[in-house]
Amino acid sequence: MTDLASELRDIERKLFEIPDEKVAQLTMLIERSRAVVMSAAMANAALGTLRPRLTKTRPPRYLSLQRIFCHPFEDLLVIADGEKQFARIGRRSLTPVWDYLIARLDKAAVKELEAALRAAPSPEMGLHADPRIPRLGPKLWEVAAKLLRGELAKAASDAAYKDEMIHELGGEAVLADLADMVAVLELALPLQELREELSPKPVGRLLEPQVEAIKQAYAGLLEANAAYPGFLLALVIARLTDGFQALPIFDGLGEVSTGLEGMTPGKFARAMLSGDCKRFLSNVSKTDPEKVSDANVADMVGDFANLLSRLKQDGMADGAAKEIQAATQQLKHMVKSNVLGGIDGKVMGGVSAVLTAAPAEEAADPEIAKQAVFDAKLEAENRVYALQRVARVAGEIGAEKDVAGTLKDLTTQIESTGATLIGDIKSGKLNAEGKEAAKTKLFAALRMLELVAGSNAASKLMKDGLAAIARMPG
Amino acid sequence: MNFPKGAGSQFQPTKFEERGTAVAFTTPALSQARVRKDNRDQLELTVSSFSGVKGNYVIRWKDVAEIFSLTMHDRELHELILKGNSCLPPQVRHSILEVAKSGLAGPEAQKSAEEALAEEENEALLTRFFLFKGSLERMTGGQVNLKVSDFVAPSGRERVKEAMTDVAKRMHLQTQVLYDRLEQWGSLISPLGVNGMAKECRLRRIINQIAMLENTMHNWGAEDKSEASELAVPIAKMAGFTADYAKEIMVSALRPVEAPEKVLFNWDKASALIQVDLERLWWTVDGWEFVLLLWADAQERDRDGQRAAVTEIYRVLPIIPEKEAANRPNAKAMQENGRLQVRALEGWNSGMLDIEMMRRVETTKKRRI
Repeated sequence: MTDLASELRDIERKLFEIPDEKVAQLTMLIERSRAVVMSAAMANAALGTLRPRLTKTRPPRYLSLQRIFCHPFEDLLVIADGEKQFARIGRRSLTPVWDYLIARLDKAAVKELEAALRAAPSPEMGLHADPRIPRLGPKLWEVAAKLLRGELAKAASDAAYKDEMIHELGGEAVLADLADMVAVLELALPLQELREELSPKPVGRLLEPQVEAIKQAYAGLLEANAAYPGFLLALVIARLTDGFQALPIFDGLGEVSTGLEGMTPGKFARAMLSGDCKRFLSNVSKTDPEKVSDANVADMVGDFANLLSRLKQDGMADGAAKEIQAATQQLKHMVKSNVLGGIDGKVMGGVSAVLTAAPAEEAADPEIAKQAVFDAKLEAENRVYALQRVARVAGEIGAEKDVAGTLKDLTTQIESTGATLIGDIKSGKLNAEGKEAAKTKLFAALRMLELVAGSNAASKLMKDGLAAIARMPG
Repeated sequence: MNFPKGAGSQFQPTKFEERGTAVAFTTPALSQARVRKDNRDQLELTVSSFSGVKGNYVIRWKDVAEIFSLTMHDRELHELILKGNSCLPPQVRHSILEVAKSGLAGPEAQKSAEEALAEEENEALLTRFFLFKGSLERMTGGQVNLKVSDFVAPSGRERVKEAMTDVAKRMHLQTQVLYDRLEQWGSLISPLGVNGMAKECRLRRIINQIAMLENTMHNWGAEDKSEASELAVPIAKMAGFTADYAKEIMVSALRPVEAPEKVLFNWDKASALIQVDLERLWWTVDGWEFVLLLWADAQERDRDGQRAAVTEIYRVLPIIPEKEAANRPNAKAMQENGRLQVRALEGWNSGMLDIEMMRRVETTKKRRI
């Protein structure tokens, strides 16, 4: 495991140096290993490392019958750790449901499908979709949906059968996920067409033809008397960057059926979005500050502020009040510890790394000395950048006073450093180093002041500093 | 800069000099604005789609710092370009790298600029070596075969000197004159390098990447389903058009390498022609580095980030002016792209710089082609 971990770190480091073909081979190897030798957790860890490169290269993925089975509902998959989330399917349910299904499918038919899958050539690198899925999927989806629908019907009418089923699947939440899987599998073909219309994922702002396609697809499902047309709405929301934009469209569908009692399309969409928001908020509340960077915290605060604004606009904030409060507290805590904590040292360290740097010819190892200055400046800038991003929305987490106070303190400190530097220049302390060295030092303070307090504050320092340098001899 | 047909089209630049050179400002509103000279030889700035309206604003260069709230980096860059009083792409690029090296656009931009300058020196050195080697081999009918070590070891240098003396004598030139001309020639074409060099020099890299962008943008536009996909088509077309145009000039600029004796004998005339080709090449690819870097950065972003990048690329797309490519097929069609984008670059009520936007612009300075 240690070897694997170190290999993974090594792969991570070299990720973008590996040729595309190697990435494809590696992906295929890991995915096959998952099916045969490696534990799923190890394979997932390895794939997680490769993921940034996979997004770019899109090598053909190892295709199994289980992956084909999951394809119709893969947009709805989430990492769930507790209760069933409305219109979402927990990844933890995939294996138990697949095992449950495969134990009941006709063995000869499964072998036939497996043979067809082996015979189908792998797609080329870079394709968004695997052409083998629409070729082999429909048959499997149809058979699976029929079989599992039958199982659900038996469970509905026989409590003992339901208990057995829950036991075999590993919990009620898995059974609920199974029910959602069946609902989506029954819509697999029409959803496939809509998925193409809403590709590639994630979809940003919906365009008029896409809105029209959604409406027509929904009308088509109603006309065909689909059991749970509401899951089309779930697919749409899951493919959008901002699911809230779909609310007016779904509200516009009126009181038509979603297949769930008392749920209009608007209510269905709100229930799903509310679940997504609660999951996000819950993840925020559970975040370990030790494991996130200052930039991550700034991202989270920004996402939280956006989400809060949408929830308020759509009147959904009250339903998640508890989760919002918990997330607010955690974010405030993380801002204090990860963004504001130690910021003085970091920022002033970035400035003083330049101000106190010895001339290159005097350093024991000029390259190491240069790298140390670079690292200090970069860390300082990244922290200020995180602070500025938090500052925009600090009011949403009640951190505006802390953030404003920090910005003010930093401004004072940098201005004071700048004033001292100008004093040194005027008094001739930097004459031996020369004008260029003085300018480098001035610019280090200037840059930081600009990032912290803006260009107007920095321009005065620039004017005074350059005037002092101009009067230096030489 | 392209105006849509109709009112204002009479102001559309017809030559590179009129289009100006893209300046890598970090003030978001001025990102890729262009510097050019007016009819009194004074520098001026042209800003396209400013405030989201069609057309260009033209501002006297010396007034730029008064009109815009500039970043510290841009104040320094503005000042340096003003001092240099040149709007030629190589000079503007040099100013851009010098200011980035000062650290005012952040440590990563500083490092990247230092590396870029060092790389250019290496490329110039390599080009000079290959030009010396190729020319002497050709002019001695293959009797002299030089290695890198010949330029370093005293015995090798003696051999080079002997060969050059023989050639110079035959051409009725002094050896030093021949040497100087080869040096100047090497420096002149160093942004391109010579054919057969294992390392691609900067302009050649840019041209090749512009050619690749045509395909990439075409494919991206075909699979995307947003308004940005419509912008990808003209970007792809313009990339293909520019790459073809630049390749033709490149071939023309490097053709004399095949006949060094003629060039070195008629140096003034021949070098002037090479200089013209190089200048046209610099102008042709000017502004594309930003486009390529923006796209390279966007490829690591999500779809929305890529769409934003395509929109920004379309806004700053360097279009070959009418008279420069007048004899090329499709030139007219290429120049008929209208542009209209609205961007939020400064706080609408404060006029303060948007630090996030500034950071995004600075991102392209971290990278190199």
